[in-house]
Amino acid sequence: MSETGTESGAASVGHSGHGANPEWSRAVRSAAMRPMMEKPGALWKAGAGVLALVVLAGIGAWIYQLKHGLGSAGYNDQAFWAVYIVDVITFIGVSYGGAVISAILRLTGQSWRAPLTRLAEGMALVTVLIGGAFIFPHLGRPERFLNIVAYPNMSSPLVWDFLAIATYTVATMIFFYLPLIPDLAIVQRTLGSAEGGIRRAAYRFLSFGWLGNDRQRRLLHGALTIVALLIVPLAVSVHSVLSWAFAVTSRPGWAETVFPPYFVVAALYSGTALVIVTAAAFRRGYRLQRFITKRHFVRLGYLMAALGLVYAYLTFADLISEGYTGITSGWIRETVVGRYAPAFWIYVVFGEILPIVLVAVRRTRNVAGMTVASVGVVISLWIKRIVIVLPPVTQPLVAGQWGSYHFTWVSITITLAGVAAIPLSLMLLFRYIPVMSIDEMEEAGPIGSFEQVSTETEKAIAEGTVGAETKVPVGAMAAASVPAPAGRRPLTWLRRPRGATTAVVVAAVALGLVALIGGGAKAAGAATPAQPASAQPATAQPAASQVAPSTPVTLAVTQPAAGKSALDLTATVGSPSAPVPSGTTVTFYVMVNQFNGSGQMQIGQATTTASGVAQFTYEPTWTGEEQFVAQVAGPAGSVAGSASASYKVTIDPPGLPKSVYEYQRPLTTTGHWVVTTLLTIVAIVWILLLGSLFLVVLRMPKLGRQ
Amino acid sequence: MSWLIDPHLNEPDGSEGSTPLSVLDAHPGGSCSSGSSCSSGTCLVPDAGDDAEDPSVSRRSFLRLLGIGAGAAAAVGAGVELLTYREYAAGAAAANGTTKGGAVSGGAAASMADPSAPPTHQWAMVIDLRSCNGCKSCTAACQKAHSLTQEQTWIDVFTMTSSTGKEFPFPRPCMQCENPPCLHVCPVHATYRQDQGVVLVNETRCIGCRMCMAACPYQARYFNWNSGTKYPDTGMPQDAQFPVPQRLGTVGKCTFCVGNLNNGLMSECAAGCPMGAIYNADIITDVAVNSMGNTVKLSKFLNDNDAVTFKPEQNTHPRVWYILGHGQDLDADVSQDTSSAAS
Repeated sequence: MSETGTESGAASVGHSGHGANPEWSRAVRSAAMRPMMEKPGALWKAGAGVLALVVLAGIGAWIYQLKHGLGSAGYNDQAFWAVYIVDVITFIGVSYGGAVISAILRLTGQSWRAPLTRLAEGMALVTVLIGGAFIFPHLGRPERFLNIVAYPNMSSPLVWDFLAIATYTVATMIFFYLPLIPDLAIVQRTLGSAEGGIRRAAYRFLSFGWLGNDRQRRLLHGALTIVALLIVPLAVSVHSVLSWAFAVTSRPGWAETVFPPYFVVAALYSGTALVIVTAAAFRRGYRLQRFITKRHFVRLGYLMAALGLVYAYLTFADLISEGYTGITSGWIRETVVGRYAPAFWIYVVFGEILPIVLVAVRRTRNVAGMTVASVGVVISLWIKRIVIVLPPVTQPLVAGQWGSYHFTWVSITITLAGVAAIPLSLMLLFRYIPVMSIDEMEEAGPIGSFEQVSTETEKAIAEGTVGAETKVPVGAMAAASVPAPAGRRPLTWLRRPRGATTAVVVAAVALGLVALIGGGAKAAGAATPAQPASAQPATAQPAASQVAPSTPVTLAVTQPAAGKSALDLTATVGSPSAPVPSGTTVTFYVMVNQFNGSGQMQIGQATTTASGVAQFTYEPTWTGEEQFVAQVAGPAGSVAGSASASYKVTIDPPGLPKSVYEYQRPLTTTGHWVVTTLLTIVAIVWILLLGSLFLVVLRMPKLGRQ
Repeated sequence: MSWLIDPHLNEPDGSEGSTPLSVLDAHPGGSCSSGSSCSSGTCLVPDAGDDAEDPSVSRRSFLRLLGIGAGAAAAVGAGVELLTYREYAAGAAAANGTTKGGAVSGGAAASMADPSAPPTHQWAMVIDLRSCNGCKSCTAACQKAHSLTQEQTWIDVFTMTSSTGKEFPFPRPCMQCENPPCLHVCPVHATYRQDQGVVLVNETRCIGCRMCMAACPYQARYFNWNSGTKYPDTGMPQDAQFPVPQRLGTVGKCTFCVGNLNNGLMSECAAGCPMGAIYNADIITDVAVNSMGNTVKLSKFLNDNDAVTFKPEQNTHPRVWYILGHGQDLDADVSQDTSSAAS
């Protein structure tokens, strides 16, 4: 091909291998760049306007929440985590799906991926940014967010969340940017000098001298392989760490060993579903029916169904072990048959049964069927995460009532803003970059039903004079490539994806909200008044016997051994004229002035010898002037006699160390190694990611000049 | 790399004192002003300090051994539902023999009322459930002293049901765990444990993520959800020992009224308890006192009455002990479907 000449027009940066089909190339470029070249239509403007309004409303709601506190979003002490953390998990989760699908298909060389990668990677990029942004409404003090950087506690799962999400975001950006380089070069040349200078200069700068020669391709391919290899474990780490924010607590329902894979699979499952939804929407809206065909939907549908089965299995595994023993199963009861049951069963129906049936039944295994299934999965997995978060968070850990979370207009508006931001961002994004990866599609060559499309239609579409929608109905591609068996017609309602999708969305959202709100409303009730327990003071009366009232007592305090703090308290009871029986109990006290008290604290008892002497060895627990009391009990609890003496304790008592009970975590030492190792891994990942990017950026122009 | 792991024994890191956030937050124990005390290494040692130069290193490693020993003992005693004080102290007493001459530094009787005392105190609490009648005076006293809202029950009185079906009141302050889960999960070291064993929250640093609320097994943390709440101005700067008024968007919890304790006073809940059910206690001086003036030797009191801690299986090592007396068991009500396995 003509890769040597930069002046020979748009085709010059095309792929040299398989791109020999100029018709294909022209069709691809036309379709991928049409949204960039054309002025936005009224429909686009209306859609973007509505979405922007929703996003603005969400920002307004957030400002309201900042002013009035998180209570305005329905939070309370027994529902301290709720909708925003669910949003974080959901959005970052779908991002994971997009990135991993693109990465795995790329690594395994699946050429059919070509029309989907840009959409999947763009969706991954947009959703990870939105998901990350949901951390801010989640925080009570978002303005102090950078304290995580200033005072990181490396034993906190949230610090690792921050590290993992930040790393993954950078990786997603690079993973989005690198395959974009050839397309940027194509766009720059296609724009020609007629278009705005700044825009063209930006494309020129960002394409870093891409010509598409073999060495440049090798370089780009190498870098892309590294990033694609990294992004899979990175995404696993993000969702594992997100799950550990729950699983490292001791809360029943969260402290589950199954949580990391549970979250990872949920992310893949919902991510695959959102790739399907995104592909369906842009296929229709941007007239890509000829490139993204039924085949893509069915293959992604198979993948989604497989992931759905794994997720159903993990859900069952999560519930069965605790539910079986019943030790901490209050949350399971609430989930399966209690107040969260409607939401849980919505997930089971719309998130598992419906999609799997739609994939399994041949009649519905088409674009519309897969789209409906995916919409069901995306929405019901959001509801499922609510069900994962709320029952454990609202359960009583000590005693008493279940808490409840009530959705408010603030939390609903902010969440909807996040949802609206996805299509809005993508619509804006594809105003500036091609909606499909032109280079990859040229490399992959004609796919799907391209050969069977009439040349007239193709030309008309390429020239942008005829809307593909009018000429190429939804089912046409599918029908052309896989003829429907005679006598069988696809279900009619499923042929209209918009209607069916809307129905599923409305049903799932309405049922979910009704269930959650209704469940919350069941809450509360007054606490049962406490039944007073009878007071039973515990006082040990020293056994007293035959001690006459007003028995003389003397007390002497001596230090028996120099250098030791132990003290001998010697009480002499009685007198030669009035002896006391041997074995009379003498109780020793020390005066305590701590806690505003002036009480006598009993420190021990001793019995008298025949000569009336009782001795007790006392180990002081503090230093200074201490007042001791010796007491002999008289009949009926009276005091027969007492004496006091003081002694200045100067030697630090050995007493107790700082705390004999002081507990040291067993893994404190090991923890240092774990943290150091993990941080090293993070550093290596960053070096690899940024290294790949810089290598491409720095070497690319040189390779082009040679 | 010692800064990497949360400093289990430590206060906010050394840099805290130089940050403009709040000078009062620098040493919330108020405990490091006398020079000699700092040689104990338990305070004012910046976290970045090299362990090898730390004079307390031998004690630390000892405590580590102690921890392992305690863990082993706990493992041996597995199956015992409630770890009694006796079992607890047995291990400690054995260890105590090996630490003669280490231990408490400095001090003096004068420190009894000296707020700048070195850690000659380790605050604790004993709640005698035999005396508690569930009147919630403790909650009211606490809320009044700290200007809390009705929902912020730093000491809450729960109604629990024993395995024999009998209901009994159960006051629950912050347990001031020696292995505090809230501290370990706080991403910004806003929760810390001062050197008298009290777990405090630096509300000038808290980012409001509520991870600590998720981690606490005792539901002892309360968030400031609404700006509508009007907190009276006390005319005093807020600090971690006395976080009044509370700040919007941050978390608060029982502080053990550590300022009171350091000034020789009782905590508000203990002072406000008409039944004398709540004892303030000091592990070092081995003293426990209630509002009735009943002064007892802490170790003996716990031992004689078979005191237990709440949820020992959580491995939090609370500094709050409960004395049962009516056949209660403390976790009967937690999983409502099943009666507890406690014997």
